Amino acid sequence: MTAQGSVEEIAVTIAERPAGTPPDESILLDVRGLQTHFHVMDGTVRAVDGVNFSVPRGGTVGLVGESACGKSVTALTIMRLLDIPPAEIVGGEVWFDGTEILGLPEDEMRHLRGNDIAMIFQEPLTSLNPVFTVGDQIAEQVRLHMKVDKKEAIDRSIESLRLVGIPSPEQRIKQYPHEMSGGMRQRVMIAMALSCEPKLLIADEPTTALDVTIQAQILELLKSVQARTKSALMLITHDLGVVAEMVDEIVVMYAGQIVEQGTAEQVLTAPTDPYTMGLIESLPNVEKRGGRLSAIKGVVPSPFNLPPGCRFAPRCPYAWDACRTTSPELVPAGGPGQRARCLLHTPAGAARRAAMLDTAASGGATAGQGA
Amino acid sequence: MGKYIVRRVIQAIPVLFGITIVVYAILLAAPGGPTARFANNPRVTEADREKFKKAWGLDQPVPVQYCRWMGICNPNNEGLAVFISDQGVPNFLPTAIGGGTNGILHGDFGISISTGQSVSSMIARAALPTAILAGTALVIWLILATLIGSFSAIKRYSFFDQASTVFAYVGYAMPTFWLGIMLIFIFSGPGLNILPAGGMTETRLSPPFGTEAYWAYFAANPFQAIADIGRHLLLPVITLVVVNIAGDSRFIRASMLESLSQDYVRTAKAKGLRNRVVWFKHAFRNAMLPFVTNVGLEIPFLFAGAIVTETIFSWPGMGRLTIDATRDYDYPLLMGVLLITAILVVFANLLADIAYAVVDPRIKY
Repeated sequence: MTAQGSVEEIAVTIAERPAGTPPDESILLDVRGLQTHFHVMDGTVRAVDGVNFSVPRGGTVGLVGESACGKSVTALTIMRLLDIPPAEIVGGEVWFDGTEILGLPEDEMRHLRGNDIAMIFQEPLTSLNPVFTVGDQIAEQVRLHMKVDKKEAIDRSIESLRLVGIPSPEQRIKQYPHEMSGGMRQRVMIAMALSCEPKLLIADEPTTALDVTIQAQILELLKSVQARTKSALMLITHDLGVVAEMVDEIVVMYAGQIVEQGTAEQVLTAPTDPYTMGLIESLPNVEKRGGRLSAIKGVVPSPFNLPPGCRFAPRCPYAWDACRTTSPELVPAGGPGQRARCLLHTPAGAARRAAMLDTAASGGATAGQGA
Repeated sequence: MGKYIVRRVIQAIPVLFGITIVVYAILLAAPGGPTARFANNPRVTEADREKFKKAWGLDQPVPVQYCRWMGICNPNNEGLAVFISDQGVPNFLPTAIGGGTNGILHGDFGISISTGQSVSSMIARAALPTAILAGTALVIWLILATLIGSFSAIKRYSFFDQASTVFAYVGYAMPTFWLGIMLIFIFSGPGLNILPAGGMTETRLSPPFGTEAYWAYFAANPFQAIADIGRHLLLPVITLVVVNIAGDSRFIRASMLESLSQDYVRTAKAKGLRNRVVWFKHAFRNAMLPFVTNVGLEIPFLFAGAIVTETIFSWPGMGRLTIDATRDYDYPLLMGVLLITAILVVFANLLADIAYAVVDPRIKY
């Protein structure tokens, strides 16, 4: 845990703030009640449905969830890169560096993109334009935002390639993306994203398309350049192992909603939402060697046919009648500042929670003895 | 790249050789034959036909005829000596080092039966009008098709897109001859009568196009001459553009839509680039890649003569030459035109491949 991760500060960052007023100076990105819907032929998909979280200056936040839980759409909404229509930003505010950016004119938003907020995408193989050299593609962004001449833009491109550990960058900038490996291309994407020294770096599954050995390198790289450049990092991933190493705070999403948020330590060691518990239980673990990995039963509900109550209720081992009719709110649970979207943490679920904890404790003890 | 071009040119040789055989075989298999032109002339006797056949070498066995047409055999010799030129070296070698002078290997496409002129000179005379018509039409239609296709894709489902879709289907479905005749009817008919119905120049104003007298006139009044050709060019160019723009604008629209949905377009937007730059630099360049090949395949047929358009507007180009040759059973001329077309196709393909390698850095030869 770094300095930003102290429990008291987290408690501040996720406290409610009145709409229409800028967040505290220490907060770089503040997302409030964000709702993004997609209007498609079969109906409306509520891809992001009331999401609140914030990223402190220089801080690191991980957005975690299964595929199609709305984490990428959240990022693209912040960047305002969604095609409208079919997408529609139905409600909410996004405060970046003291300005609400969902209402910014496109011209001003463009100055933020690539300059103050940069994004790295999942697919390094297709995210670079195949017909331009990597140098061209980095220098293009540098020239756009830094107002420097061509030569200096190229020098800066070389510098940023060097920063991400690409050997002999002077030669590499003349290469086309297809002449590089996947890991190299993702390094180029990172170099491009960092070339204008952004205040916020959004990395959308930056390692998913890479093989495991390269994944570790890229994560290491992201962490080191993030520390060096002091930019904030919003890491989107489905991989809990990745967030454990990379971020201070974790936001867990399910079916378009946040189901749990807190510090990395809180969420990973003492999860309070049954979905997060399920995710963590399904991780391979030294103590569980030899046994079958557990999985969360069932599938993510269809976005056109969400359950009426808690969206996780059909898959939840602890669900009871109330869960199928009442939509839970995000309520304080567990440690300071930690919150979960689960009825177990409301007065109605208190008794059940106590019983559940008892079983878990005894069950855990048995398992411990068995091992 | 240089090595690749040389290899492709060498590869083209057997292809072209095969084409000469196919062209020859197809015309041989077609009913009629060179003497069919006399079929409706009762004054031509059987003896006359034999004399005609002998004069044109049609009494020889087919392989010999082909061999002479190619320029491998010397028509002045008999027996095995047919392969030897008058200078005593193999006949197929270039004339400059003592080879023969006859046959397409030596640039001699023979004599047109109907006009008595050399086929090469007739093709050369028809090539310029076709180049003018095809070149003008091509430039206009590529520019318009690119613009319409790109904007349709960028503003997908907009009014402009819907309108251009309708235009494309109407244009695509419209037969060339019908459109040409309608244009003539409207602009050259008794109502408006503002444009010439056909031809390339006003014959009352200037000598026939292509003659020395014409070039003297052209040198004396260049603006008047160009304006005159321009007036004659208008309707056939409109016809070619309308008919061809339809398919190509659809092609570019589809290609552009695919480009616009690619990840690198999202990356370009995330860099903060203006939409214009994202569309016309990042997406457009990629959308053009498949189109280069497409154009490469369209061009040779255009320069071989837009047969229907040229015929309707009496344009003195390759297309009309083809029709005239067919109608007159003018076999040497017909073979010459077909062969030139085939050569154009082969080399346009080569050019398209080279152009493709130039625009797409992923292609390496």
